[in-house]
Amino acid sequence: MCIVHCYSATVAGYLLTAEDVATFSAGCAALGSGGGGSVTAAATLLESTLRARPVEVRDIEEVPDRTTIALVGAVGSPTVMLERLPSDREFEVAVHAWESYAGRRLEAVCILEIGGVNGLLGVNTAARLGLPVLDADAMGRALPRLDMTVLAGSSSPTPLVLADARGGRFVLDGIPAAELDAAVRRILPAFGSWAAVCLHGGRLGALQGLVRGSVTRALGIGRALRAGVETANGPRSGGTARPDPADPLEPEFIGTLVEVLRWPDGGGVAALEAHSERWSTLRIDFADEFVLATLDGRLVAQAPDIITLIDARTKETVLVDGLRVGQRVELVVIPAPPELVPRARDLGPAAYGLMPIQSDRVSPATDPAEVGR
Amino acid sequence: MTVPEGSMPHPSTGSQGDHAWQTSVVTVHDVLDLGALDGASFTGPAGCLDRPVRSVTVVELSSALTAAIPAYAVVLVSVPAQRPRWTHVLDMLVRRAASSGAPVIVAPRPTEPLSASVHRVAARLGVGVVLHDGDPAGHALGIQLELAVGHPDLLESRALAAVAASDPNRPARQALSAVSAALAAQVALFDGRGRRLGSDELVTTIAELTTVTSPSSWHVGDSSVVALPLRFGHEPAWLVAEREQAGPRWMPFAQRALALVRGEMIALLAIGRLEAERVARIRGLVLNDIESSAPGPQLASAAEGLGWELSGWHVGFHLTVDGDPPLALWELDGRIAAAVDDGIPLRGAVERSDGWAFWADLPQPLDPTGTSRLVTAVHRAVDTLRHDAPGRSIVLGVGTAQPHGDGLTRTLQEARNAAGLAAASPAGTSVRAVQDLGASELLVGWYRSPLVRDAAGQTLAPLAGEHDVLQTLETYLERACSAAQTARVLGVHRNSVTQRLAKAERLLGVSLTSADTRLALQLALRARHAETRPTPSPPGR
Repeated sequence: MCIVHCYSATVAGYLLTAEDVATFSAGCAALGSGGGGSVTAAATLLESTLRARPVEVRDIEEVPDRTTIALVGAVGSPTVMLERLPSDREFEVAVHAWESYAGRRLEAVCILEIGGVNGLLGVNTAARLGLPVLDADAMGRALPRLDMTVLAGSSSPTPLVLADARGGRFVLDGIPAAELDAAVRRILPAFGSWAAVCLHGGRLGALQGLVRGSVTRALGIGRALRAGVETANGPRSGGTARPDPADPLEPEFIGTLVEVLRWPDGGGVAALEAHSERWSTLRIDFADEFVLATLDGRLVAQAPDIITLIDARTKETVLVDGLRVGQRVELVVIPAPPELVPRARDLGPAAYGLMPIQSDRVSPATDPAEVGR
Repeated sequence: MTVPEGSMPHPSTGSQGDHAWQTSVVTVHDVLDLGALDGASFTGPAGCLDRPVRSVTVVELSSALTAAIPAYAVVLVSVPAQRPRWTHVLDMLVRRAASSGAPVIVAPRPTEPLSASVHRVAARLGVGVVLHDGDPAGHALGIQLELAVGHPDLLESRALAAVAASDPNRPARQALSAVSAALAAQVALFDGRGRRLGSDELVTTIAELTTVTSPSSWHVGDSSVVALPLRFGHEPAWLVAEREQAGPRWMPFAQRALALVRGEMIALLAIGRLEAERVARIRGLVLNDIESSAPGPQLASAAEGLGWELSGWHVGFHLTVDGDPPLALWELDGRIAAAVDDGIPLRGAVERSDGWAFWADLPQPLDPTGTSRLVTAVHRAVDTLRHDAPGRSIVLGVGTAQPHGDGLTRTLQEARNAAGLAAASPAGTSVRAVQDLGASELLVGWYRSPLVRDAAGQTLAPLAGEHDVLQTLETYLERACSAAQTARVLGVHRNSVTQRLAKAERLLGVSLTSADTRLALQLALRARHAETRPTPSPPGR
């Protein structure tokens, strides 16, 4: 079992610079668990922004409870985002619209979703606004709906603001949290299928349960992945060497995609043949993200654990949309952050329309006995 | 109940699994034979089909990964009507079944295509996965599986009860349908004429059945075949059941099912026999009328009822068969029916005092090539009568093409004459066409005259007991009096031929230098042949 020990205590604060973008974006892509959208365009944007102005990453413990923060990110179709690229403007419009509606000024930005493009967009917004970004996020990985944040049920997500680069903005308030995601999806077409979103604004002290160390974790994962790129001709690329204990991203499985089935209503299943044992088969069920992985019928990982496929040749993260028969990939499993464990059942296969798996298997990092550091 | 000739088949005489039906071992393959799983698909290694099953475990989908699975169990997955996507559970259930020693999982077919991972995992771990199209909850299927696994004899007895006739007057086809449904197989009755009643999709042919003389079963590729011979007098018949991918219990079960309708099939054969004899009598009467009078509308109508076309052209054939066993009507009917199926327009056969008459109905006369092809095809068809009985000798006479009803009479007579000449020839000619008779036709009456035969007998009396001399003399005269050729044919030295001929002259008191003497001796020898191969050979039944 691959374990990523990235839950070490974050430093009090540090600057994220343009030189960190490649590493950070690789980590965010991995934490997308096959979803979260392509990070390429947002990485270019973030690099440009940070080159002008690095952003301060703040340990959440070091931020006073009275600090006004909000979750910032994008919501909608990541596919459309590949064509209508994100700029800086829509996120600033969303924040300013929230500030105007709430009558408060934002003092720090919290990333809505560390997995995928939203991890970079949150940091970019903070940098553009000259605000610090919390070393935290509200999902711990990529998740498909706004009501799946760790704040669901503990704080009100409204007022929620949607905005686009033309300055258009839409404020939702007074809508029950359970209905908010559906309401947003109905409005998105008017914004061209995706929009900047600002929600769950308020004092930090009232936003209990945020996933801590997200930015640092992403950097760590990205660093490990990029180390693999630099040693692409080394043992890790062949997957035949003994696991290196110093290498936290030793693949759980290396194989070739032999089948990808996609369902008409979204999602699908992929089958992979192991390189080491010809008839050993990995099965990955996916929706917007990879949901479940089994090896010869044995459970390897399930959501909310983060299931990441790495292209064995390029070491790039493979998204759900990028699965192709013949691809040679490595499976890396990153345990879900401890903050997600209490909600594991709600964030598991059932949340993606799959039969839940009753399993007493937990990854060590999500063992409740280890939670609460 | 009196059991007709050919006692009830005993399962132990079959070639498959003596007394297998008496054991309670049920395999995965037997489970797949269950009617409730018709149309179900199977994935997994072929080896798991032979694994035994002893119980049925119903597993709710929600507890599929925690429910206990006994060894040798059929794991039936019950899936609720409203459920999320669940096929990933199948992969894990396969693993659990393999760990527990359960050989097969039965699950409802999911709405989406099955991932290759299920096939691969099932193959790797040696567990079969059966996907059915029935109720996903599997309640009724579970009961059927319990019966099939726990009480296979009961299930089979129920099926056999359905086969047993509740209506004693039910048509034979209905009986065959009942057997076919009970066995989930193709079932047909073959009679000695090669006719088939029942499924047209049966692959087994009459040629494969001719050597089956006791209840038998065998495999052909993926198919299992069970054959039950029925003996009705001397005419053979067979009940055959054929099924693809049948389990090991199927063969003995099929034998029992076929035996249940044996009586009905024999009754059907008896009806068929009576009908055939009736038609044969009518054929004889109608042909006699055609030969004795000009065909009028009434006669033409009767002929039409028999499928005869009097207004066209006809080529007559006359068949004599000597040796054992005697030729039966059904044998010839079968050959003619087969020839008709091959496109040869034969009509008849009509029994005569000296053989069988039949003919080909043609829209117009054939050219010599066409005639030759027709004769060759008919010869090939009747020659098979010797395949089943090598002791037989067959003579076939062929007439010329003649038109209309009176032409039919003429061509049949020509064929009869040709057959007579062919029978008289010592050369053993089995086919003689009237075109080849030439002057020989003049001698037809001569050979048939009893006076001539008596005279021939007296002439050759001195050579009685001198087989070599008789044979040498006959061959010498047939080989244009060439001693060299005679020696070559007989395989002896020329000097031996000369010595034997000298002996013949001495015994007969004649000289072979006289042409008249030679002609008389040749005619006598031919007439002797016509006597030793008597043309009025009564056909057997």
